[in-house]
Amino acid sequence: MEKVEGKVCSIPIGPYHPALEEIAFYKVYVDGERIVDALIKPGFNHRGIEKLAMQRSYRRNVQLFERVCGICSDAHTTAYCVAVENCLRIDVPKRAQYIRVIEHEANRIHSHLLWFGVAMHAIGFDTLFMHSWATREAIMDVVETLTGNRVNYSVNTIGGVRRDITPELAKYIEEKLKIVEKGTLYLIKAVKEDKTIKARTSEVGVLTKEEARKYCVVGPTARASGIEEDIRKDDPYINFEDFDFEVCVEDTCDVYGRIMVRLRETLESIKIIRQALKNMPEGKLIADLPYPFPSEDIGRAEAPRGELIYYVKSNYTNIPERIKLRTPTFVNLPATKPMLLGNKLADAPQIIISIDPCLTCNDRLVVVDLRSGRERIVLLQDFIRRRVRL
Amino acid sequence: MYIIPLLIALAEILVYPGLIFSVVFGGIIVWMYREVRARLEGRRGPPWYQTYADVFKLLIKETIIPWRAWKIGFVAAPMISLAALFSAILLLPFFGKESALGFLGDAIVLLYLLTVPTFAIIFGGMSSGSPYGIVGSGREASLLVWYELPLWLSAATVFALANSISVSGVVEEQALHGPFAIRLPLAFIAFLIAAQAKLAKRPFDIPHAETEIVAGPYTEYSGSLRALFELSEVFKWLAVSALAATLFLGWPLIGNIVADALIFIGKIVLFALIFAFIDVINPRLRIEQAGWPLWKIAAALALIDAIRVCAGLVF
Repeated sequence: MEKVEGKVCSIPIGPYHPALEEIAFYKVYVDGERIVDALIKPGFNHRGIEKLAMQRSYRRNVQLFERVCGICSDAHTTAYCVAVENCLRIDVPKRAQYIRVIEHEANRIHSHLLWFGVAMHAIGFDTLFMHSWATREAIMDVVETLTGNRVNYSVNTIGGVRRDITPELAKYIEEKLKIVEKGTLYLIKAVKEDKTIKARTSEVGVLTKEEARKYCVVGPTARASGIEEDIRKDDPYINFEDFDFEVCVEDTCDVYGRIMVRLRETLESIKIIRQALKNMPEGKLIADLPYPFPSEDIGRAEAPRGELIYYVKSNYTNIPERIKLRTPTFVNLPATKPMLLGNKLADAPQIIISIDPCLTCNDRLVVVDLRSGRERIVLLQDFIRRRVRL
Repeated sequence: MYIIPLLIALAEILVYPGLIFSVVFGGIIVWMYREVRARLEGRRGPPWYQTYADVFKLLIKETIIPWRAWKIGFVAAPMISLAALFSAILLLPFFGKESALGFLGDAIVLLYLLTVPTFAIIFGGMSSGSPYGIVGSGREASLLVWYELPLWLSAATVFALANSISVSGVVEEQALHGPFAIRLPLAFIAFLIAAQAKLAKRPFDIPHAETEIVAGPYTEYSGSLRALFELSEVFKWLAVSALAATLFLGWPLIGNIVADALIFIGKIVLFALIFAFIDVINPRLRIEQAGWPLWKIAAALALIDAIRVCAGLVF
């Protein structure tokens, strides 16, 4: 942390703060209302999920990884299943992949609408926040009817999916999608036409294309800075190569761009679900599973917040030898500092929210030596050295 | 001999338009605001007694005074705010034309009394010793500079046209020659914009923007002191709506005290709902953006009408 001199006042934002649902601690140094420095401190919610995953079977880990993030739960299971399937060379039936796509995109719609509501709340527009969440309720109904759950769907499994989509269900989804589409178009219209929203979000939290490359941001944060990258297009998984959709890019590099990217992506996701329902192939739901053998591979997925990577290393047992996950917030979080500098304190919450932080998936174990005050992050080697049973 | 005027004065202070009436009516105004907001957001809204329940609950909670706070200022601020607003309500024409404590020049005192709560909030936030309180107080002070000019300019235009600086004089003039809302439309709009900022409602709820600085000046307040601030928010809403009704909608005046009082209450509800509606359909502005509508629009509009009055172009 740099030392800040002069007439500077430090304002704590979080870990308990009405603007920040997530548990991070931001120490924002302000000179009047202008932010001169910011200190980001995550680490309030370490849950040891990676270690836990190395003690459970492949099948049971699906339910574990769903709980990494309560919002993009489907993205986590998809990435994990893809990683295991790549690792153990499992060919997933096409019908199962299409059902995965539907759930994956429904998850994205719900996440983006939820985020939009929170972003509107940050600038004090509670009316649009409520409308956005009312629209989101329709897609939550879809998810609940499809999977039986609203948060942790548990529908992905290694080698396929656990529930089928009947033609009646498909019709129901089509109807609900119409409601979501209408609601999203209304929200886009509101954002485009309302002058105050534009005044509050334009040229706020600017992350230029160069800086975005330097900080390696992913997902909608990168796309709002003019970087055209989307794992669904760049490295298609779960048969995304069959679908026709657009990668939404904005070059405004500010919070307004991030809002527009996410709202436009919601429309693209609706398009993808419609295509999947229309072209749904017949076939099995789940592949025959092989016995595990020593191998390693990664699975990538475009979570609502950006690129999500799972690394799986297998051995002859039904328990993975090593699992490593990298969540999008882990990459995007440091980029909030250049976004914050030079802005007003009033814009701090919406800048932090604009990357859609999901810190519960982010936190890593940090060991603090109290006597020397030294901090150290536990690495893979330490785990191997200290392991009891893998 | 003196017992009857004394009883009347006591009834005015305690019952109508004093303590009991203003608490009950203010609570209903806040409930209506919440109901309007809920309906426009597609929600159901709280029951009608929610405001009283909130204040009652706060009153029985423990009051914590932070060790960093300046105790006298911290405790005095909500009391000063409430006392000023209570006096302001006694000066408003709740009997049609007459107010409870009316005298010559009471309109000027009324405007002063309505400025006192803002200073009390600034004072309380500054003495609370919390960074959120200090930033919130700073914002409250900047906002005060922005909105007082259009507010006073439009009020002064009204006084000049009514040729009176007393509340009853202003109301009487409107009853005779039509409401100032029609005769001075630009000053009326300017007053509404400035009153929205005075009430710290969206788009001007910058001093206690909860997503940025928690509750601003109120952050450290708890228990009964917070309840006093809640009550003073309720009274402020009542008083500012009543001021708008007095200055710009003093017509019609029937002459029967009961009918006039009911009409006046109806007008207060109307203005409270206007403020509520503007609050619901707007997001919050940034502090430096708030100056634009308040000075460039509101003050300019009020100035145009002031010039019209001075040039004798208003009939």
